[in-house]
Amino acid sequence: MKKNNLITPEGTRDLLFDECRARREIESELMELFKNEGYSEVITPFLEFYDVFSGSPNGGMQGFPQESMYKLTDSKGRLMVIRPDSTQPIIRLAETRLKNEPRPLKLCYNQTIYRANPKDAGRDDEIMQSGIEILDGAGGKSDSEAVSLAVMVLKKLGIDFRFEIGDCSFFNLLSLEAGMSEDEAEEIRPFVETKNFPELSRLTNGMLARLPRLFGGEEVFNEAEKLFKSNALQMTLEKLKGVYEELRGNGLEEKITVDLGLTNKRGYYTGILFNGYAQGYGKPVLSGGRYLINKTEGIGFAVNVSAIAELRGNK
Amino acid sequence: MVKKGLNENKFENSQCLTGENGTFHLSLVKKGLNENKFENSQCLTGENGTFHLSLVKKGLNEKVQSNVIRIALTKGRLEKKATELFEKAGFDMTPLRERGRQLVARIDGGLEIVIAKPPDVLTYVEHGVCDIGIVGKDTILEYGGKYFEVLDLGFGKCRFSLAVKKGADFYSGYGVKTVATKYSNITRHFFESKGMDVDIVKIEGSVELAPLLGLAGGIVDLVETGSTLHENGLEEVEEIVSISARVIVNTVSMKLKKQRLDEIIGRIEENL
Repeated sequence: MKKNNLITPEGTRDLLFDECRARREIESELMELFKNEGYSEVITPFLEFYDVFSGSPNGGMQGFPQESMYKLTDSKGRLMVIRPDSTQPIIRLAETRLKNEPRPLKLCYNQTIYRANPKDAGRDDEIMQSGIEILDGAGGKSDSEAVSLAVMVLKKLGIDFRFEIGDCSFFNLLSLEAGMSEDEAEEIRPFVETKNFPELSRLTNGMLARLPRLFGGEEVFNEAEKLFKSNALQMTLEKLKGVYEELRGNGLEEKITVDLGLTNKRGYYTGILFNGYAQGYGKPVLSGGRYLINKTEGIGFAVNVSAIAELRGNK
Repeated sequence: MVKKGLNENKFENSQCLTGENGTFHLSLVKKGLNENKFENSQCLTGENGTFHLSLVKKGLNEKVQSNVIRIALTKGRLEKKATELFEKAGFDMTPLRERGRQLVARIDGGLEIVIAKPPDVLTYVEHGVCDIGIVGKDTILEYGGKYFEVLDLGFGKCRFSLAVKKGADFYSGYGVKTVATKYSNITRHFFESKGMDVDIVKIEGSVELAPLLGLAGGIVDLVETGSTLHENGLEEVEEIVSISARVIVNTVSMKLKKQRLDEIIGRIEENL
């Protein structure tokens, strides 16, 4: 039998010296910032029951794709996973041991997540993340707090970044207005998310086909104002524009962009969505949004510490 | 001007003029090349009147890089069609046509063209080392991945079909069917959507052989005219999905380089 005693599993690696130092520096910068802003740190287990991520049967939340989680069983044969995300475990914690704490509850974390990527994809399965969650229950109030903290983080990290905002309500409202059932909407949603214009124009000639084209700078708001008919859409747009203008005010004119075609790709998002991009990294380096998980409403984001370390290493 | 080989430029018949503020202008005598301006750079004259330009200041690399749009073209038939399309859109593709064995060609107007095998086009675009990819829908369906799929180029048209030996009824009987294909994911997906369990055998070469040799009851393969099937005594019984060439874009590039990409993709779209 071939022994694997001298290699690490695919998607993982040993980190040496400078690589370690870079990560620890970023982590401590971020955790210090979070703590100064009033966030309290929590650590959740490396292993969780599969059910934490499998989606709630009544809430319509889809949960994590099975194939993207590392699984094992406990001594009673129950299915466990290595956490693929920190948000759901934190909600589990907040709804149990922290259920009597006053809201909003401001939590931060610094832990590694694991995602099983397809074979030979050249992606890291092991991702170090630092992030925050604001659990408010009231909805909406913490959006600008979380978003401005995210921008503060990107500025502090000293990378050449772009910050993008959107709201999954645009897609949800438009699909409702088009008379689509949830299932029908979920069929078309991936094409909006991936800006698949050929497929969209085959499936619909309505606003849903135009939605993913609405991204860029301030002009997007003007264009959308003319296109959106219903009050609900206009109100969501107005709200997002408010966030946009607040962010631009901080001398970040060139850095803030908007994409109205962002959708609820994680299954638990309900409102504003945002991403941080950096020149030279093919995926978002920061990602977050407003969500409803179980009975808890909140907003949060995670920074990909490994990505930032790589970016800094390139300089 | 970052990675050696890819971005190191070498200009012949050029003039190098030092300008104000330590900037210098590089003007190329050769017709058609734009005048470039680099700040904080070093200019080294090399042998044979050529000279190498290397950028010194950190951070500048990224700027230069962010202005170049790198496009991955699928080797072969799509490459030819795409080259013609880019020419129609006003790009001078001579460096690509005359590239010899080189895998990278630099095109005026800030393009860099990379030639790659179909699945590699997806990989390069997904990882963001190429901004744009031109690749068949067949490859996208088979390999998946995360990128934006923004344009249907309309050429490279064909279809995925289920084919069997002439006169055979693939669906008859209760036994589990065996299907031979090069495209196991597309095949699995197709039969899953029918709620059918099938045995899939992956064949790398001419799939038509499998039913003839008795290995499989049917094949799933790309069909353009159907003549290969016909000549081998097979017939198409069901179309699975139609295929054409697509333009894909890296999800981060789309956001960071929107204007340039809009312009390039717009020029292509206008000339379809």
